[in-house]
Amino acid sequence: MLVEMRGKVDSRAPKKYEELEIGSEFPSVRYELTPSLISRFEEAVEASSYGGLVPPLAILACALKAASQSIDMPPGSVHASQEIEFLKAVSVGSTIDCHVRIIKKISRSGLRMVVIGLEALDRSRELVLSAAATVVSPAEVGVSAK
Amino acid sequence: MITSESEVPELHPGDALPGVIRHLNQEKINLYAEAVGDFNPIHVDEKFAARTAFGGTVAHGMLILAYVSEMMTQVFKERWFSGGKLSVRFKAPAHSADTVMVSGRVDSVKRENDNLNFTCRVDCHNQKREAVVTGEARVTVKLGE
Repeated sequence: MLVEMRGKVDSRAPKKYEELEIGSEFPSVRYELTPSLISRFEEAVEASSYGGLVPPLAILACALKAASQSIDMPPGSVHASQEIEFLKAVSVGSTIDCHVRIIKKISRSGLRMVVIGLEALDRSRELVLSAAATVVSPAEVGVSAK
Repeated sequence: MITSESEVPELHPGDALPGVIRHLNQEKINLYAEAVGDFNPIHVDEKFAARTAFGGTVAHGMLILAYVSEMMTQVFKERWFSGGKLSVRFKAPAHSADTVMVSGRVDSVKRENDNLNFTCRVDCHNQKREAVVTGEARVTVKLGE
């Protein structure tokens, strides 16, 4: 699994939609991007290795995993849109810290939308990725997808 | 197309990017779920997924975006890793038996000071030509690198 945890972990239960506050931030989650983990990611997405660098989408996957530990996204959630900015190449073997915050939440027509801000920093505290994921969930859990 | 790290992509508005085609199946979706630790049943539980509006399992949106990223990496190489931007909407799910065709086209190439800014339209369609993902990718290339 790409998202084996090393270091700080938020042990609190993920927050439900009703508990989320706009602007709130969650404890950072640290990931070590080991060669074996990245190799598995590259195999899964059918991507060729590139100069010992981590595929940018692998970093985003870590950030989304961090979000799922803080935010309760029910099985019926849909990933509706995604914005990503790749700011710095990361070498395989690096460690990154992922930060998650709530940008927006809207409840309308039986659907709940959350815009989640995601950032990943390397060990020198430089930003390597910034992203915003929009996730839509049915108010009644059970139908749809993430 | 760039042939080495030092070259700037010779792309012009209207140019097509080299497409990427991926044939999905449940095994590939399961592999991705294991790689990233996302076991949402809509992706991996066929019985659960059959009861949803989608009627069956669908691929992770991030798996489809990884295919888009692969296309951009082929063209812009390391520059995509440290100067790429992607803004997309998921228009429809990619089902477990779908073929995903990723395509891109250069919208504009603009020089700003020492940077060359590429803007590309990116799309993913399934085998029925239905849009799965639509959006825009931008890459900044620093001249003289």
